[in-house]
Amino acid sequence: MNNEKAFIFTTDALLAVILSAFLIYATFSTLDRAAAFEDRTTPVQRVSEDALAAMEETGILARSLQETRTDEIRSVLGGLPSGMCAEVDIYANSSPVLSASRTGCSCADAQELTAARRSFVALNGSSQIEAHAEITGCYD
Amino acid sequence: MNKGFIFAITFSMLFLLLLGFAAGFLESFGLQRLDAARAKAVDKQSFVQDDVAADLLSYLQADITISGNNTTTVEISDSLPAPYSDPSQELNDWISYISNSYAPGANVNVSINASDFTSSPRIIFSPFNLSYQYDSLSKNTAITHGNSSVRNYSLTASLGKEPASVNASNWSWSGSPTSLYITLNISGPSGTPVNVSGATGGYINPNSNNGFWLNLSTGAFYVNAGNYSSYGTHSLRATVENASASMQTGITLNATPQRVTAWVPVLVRVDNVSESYAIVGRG
Repeated sequence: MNNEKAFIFTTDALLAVILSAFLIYATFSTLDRAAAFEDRTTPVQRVSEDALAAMEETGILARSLQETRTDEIRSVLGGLPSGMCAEVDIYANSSPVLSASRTGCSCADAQELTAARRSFVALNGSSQIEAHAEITGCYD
Repeated sequence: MNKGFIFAITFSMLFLLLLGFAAGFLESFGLQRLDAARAKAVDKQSFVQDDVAADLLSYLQADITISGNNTTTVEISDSLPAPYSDPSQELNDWISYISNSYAPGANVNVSINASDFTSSPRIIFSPFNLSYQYDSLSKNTAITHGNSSVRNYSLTASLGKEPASVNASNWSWSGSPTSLYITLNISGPSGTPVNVSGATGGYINPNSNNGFWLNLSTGAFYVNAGNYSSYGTHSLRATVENASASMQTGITLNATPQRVTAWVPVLVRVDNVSESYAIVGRG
């Protein structure tokens, strides 16, 4: 009689331990996935915004528009962290005029995309062109 | 019976504890997400304000560098006059573009109030009560409204035409040190620096008006330093007349290095929440 009780208690305790372990593992696994999502999204957004701001403040965006060239933009995109892909599109008076991508990668099939937009002005003779650039970034 | 009762109580308490943990975790996770969303909103507003300020500097064709080692130095790169046939219209077109084309695509509301700037275009340097002011948006004149905190000006100007002659009858270098030292590096396309009263640098009396002008055959370049008109002491004024000049004005401040903010009186409001003047430089 006592052996039966001991067997039941032991089995019960083992089941409780296994169930608890499973619940703890499931909880931490879910939390890790949520944290990983946050960590992956923020840096690529920041890097995209910084790249766009740097291209405006160094005059690359204005020069690219004035001279209809994309080599300087592609050079900046080529210097982004490895594993990151990005594409820059320039719009003048809301119409697309230029596009440049990082060589050797594409965001077409990316599951997580980030985007940032930066306005700039470019001198055109005795007037200026109002324009903006959009960057789309993703993990390669 | 008693054992069953104890088991029931124990499991009920364990269940309630589990529920408590779950509720606490959800609340904490929700707050974290809310904080993250708020931080992203603030980041976005700052990004837009920085963008607008960078556009303003591009519109002015100016650039500002603020540095500090033993002293605080402000460098302003500029070109006179404004390149636009209608500077006011260009500014209004840009404001309209930001509010009506750029902002909706960026998913923000942006309103810009440039009335103060339009009536008195200037860049202000806080906390030194120093300003770099234009006569108008046409930018034929740039005046650094100085004060006793300025101890050194360095004016480098590349003129679009070669100076034919220098009229410096109203310019006098001080024989002894004063509180204001000026270095001049003015040249035409040939690159030959112009001498003013036999020198390109020296002390001047900051409380009196010192002026010279360069005859450019067609056009002229005027410089006044010290106390010109109502600009205050330690001021510096450069004017082009039917001419163009690419200038770098270096201002060394007689103060220990501290944080300097350069801003223009253009109010930028983002998402009806964040409103501030456009900050065009920090150092």
